[in-house]
Amino acid sequence: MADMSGQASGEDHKLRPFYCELNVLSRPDGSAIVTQGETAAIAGVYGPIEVKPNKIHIEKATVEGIYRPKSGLPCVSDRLCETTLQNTFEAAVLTSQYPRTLISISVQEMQDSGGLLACAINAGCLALMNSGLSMKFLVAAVHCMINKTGEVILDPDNKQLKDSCASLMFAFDNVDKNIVSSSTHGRFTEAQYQEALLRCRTASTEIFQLYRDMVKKYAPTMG
Amino acid sequence: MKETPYSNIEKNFLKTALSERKRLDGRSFDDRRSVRINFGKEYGCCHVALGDTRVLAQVSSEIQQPKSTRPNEGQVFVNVEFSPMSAEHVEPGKPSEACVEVTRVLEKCIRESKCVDLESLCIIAEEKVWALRVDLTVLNMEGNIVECASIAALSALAHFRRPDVTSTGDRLIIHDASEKEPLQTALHHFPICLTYAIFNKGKQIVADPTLIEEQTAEASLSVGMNAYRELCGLHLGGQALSDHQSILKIVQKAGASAAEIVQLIKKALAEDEEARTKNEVVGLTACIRAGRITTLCDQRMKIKINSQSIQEVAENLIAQRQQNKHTKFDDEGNAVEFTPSEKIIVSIGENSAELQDVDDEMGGETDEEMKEDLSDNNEKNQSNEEDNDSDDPTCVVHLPANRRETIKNQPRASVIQTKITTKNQQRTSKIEPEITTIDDSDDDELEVVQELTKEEKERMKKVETLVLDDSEEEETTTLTAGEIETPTNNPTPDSKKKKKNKNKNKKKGESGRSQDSNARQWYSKNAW
Repeated sequence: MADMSGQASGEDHKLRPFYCELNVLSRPDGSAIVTQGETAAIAGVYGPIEVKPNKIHIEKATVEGIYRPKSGLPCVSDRLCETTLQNTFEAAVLTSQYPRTLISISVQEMQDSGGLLACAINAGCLALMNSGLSMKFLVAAVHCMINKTGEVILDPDNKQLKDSCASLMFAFDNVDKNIVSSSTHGRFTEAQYQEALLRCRTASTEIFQLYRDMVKKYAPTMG
Repeated sequence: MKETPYSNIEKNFLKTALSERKRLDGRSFDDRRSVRINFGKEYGCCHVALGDTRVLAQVSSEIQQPKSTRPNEGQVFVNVEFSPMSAEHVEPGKPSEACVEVTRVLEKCIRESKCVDLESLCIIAEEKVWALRVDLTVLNMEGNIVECASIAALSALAHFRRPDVTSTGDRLIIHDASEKEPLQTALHHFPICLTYAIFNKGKQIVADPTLIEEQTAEASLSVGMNAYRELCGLHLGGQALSDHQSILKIVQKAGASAAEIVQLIKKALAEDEEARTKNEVVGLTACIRAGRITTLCDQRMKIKINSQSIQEVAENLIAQRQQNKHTKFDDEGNAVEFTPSEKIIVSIGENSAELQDVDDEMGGETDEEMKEDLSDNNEKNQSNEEDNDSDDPTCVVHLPANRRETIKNQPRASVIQTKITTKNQQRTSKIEPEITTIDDSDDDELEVVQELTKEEKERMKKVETLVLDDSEEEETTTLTAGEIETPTNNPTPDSKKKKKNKNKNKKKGESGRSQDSNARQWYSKNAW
């Protein structure tokens, strides 16, 4: 478990406390549970495993992202989450190293209190790290919102989100801090987008630091 | 990806173990794995871990039109889904056969046992009733999903609060949690689905089967049972049983287990309620346990040895030893009592010792090499020995008559064997006062003995897990003559310390080795 209460300056610069545990499930090759504030997601990774002939890629691994809501069947917005997850991890995993195989990353919603997609991406990345699959880079996702007065608020919870006019999620790589994926809802100006991007990028370093701490802690047992 | 079945070798191994009344994970046949229940922040959300099997439950509610046959009753649906992360063969999308079976068993147990008060879910008869939906997601499949899911479903139903509703004739107002306190669901009883795996035509019945046990079993019986020992459901999977007696036996066992689990659920609910009233942080953050690293941890081991049974055997052996009886295990693992042969440990130089029969030792002068090794020691201790023999009665007091002769006869006997049998407190206590009489001015001697006995006690603790037996492990301590000196020959404290350490090393090496080999022997014969 690792605690990361944001140390950055300013009240609204803070990320919610971030806790995670690796290898929580015994069956998957890698698994992680992540809670960011009161949002929680659990992820499991299988791979490289046998792939169905209709999904096979000869030159690279097929990456499959699965996102499950807590209750009911997955709806359209859940499918959108799934696609974002799949695209993000396809970029991160070194697919050319595992041709003709499947890497399946499934994320389960456990508790939604804002920023669930970002939490899901972080859980997925930690599960991938735990599985020992080769990756080009790590990803960290940060969620933020723009409230009705035009301010950018980092990592808001459910209560704050009621007052939002737009919500943005960015995932960054740890090498150049480039955007790996971005998902937005609502209306905002270009300047607001740039500001949000800048704030999220700064905040992502905190999550990468947490990843480092996790690896440092688990490295002796990861083998 | 297809499911990987267990090989025949693995299955046969399990069957053989079970026929010897042993389970791979060290549990006894009626033991269940530990249950952990965590509630989410929202009402009706719950995460249950039964050993490594994990299920996430969420209850949701909506208003529906009732069935025309039951116009004043609400509805309860149970939906089980195997998450693709639960096992590698689970495909997203269509539910598998196993998934449908689990759903059906739970529906039978929860819906058809009428544990939820359906009439209280009615808002307007024939028009509007609450429909509760229990979504169960299996996160990790390690056997006995039915039981884990039923605990999760009941905990979630008991935890769930539905919004309050007021009807104003033509309009229906659903109140938000902030306006009106949400209502709890009335549960008449908690029917838990307890699963038992049946092997060898009912000869072996194990509770809470793991994955391999589930797949090897001839049949599995799920018993829906509440805390009042009322049968609420019965589901037999696999081949039919040979006699009805097994079912009765299982139902008897299930009663007690059900009461325990219901108590556990109620305790978890009460704790959550208390935390909420105190405005403490509730939610699934508690699932993450501080500083826990599960990789290669003991809990994840598929094969464990029941340390309890080993401990029992060890305790028996220790008890026997106190009566100077010894037990040996023959090739078939049967205990055989025997009287130990007289053996002693002889020092043959620095940090080394050898085990010898008493008879051998008497004629041991032929061993030239040993003599050479000892020559240094002998020279040093020669004077001491003489002193001891003449002045000091303690050194010979515990030795049998024949051994006393040995000491006198040969030069190697400068090493004096003082037998301190570890468990024999009397003997060590006998030594203490005697030593103090030799040298009242110097307390170090007393310390030597005390430390030795302390060390032995510590080792005794370890022995509880390993098993001592056999002829050679007679815990004989060799005290060199220099150790028990006379007042006339007092070495400096430094040299004394060194000797103390040496002595310790010697002992450790000797007894550690014999313990190891004995334990290994024991395991190979008894730990299948």
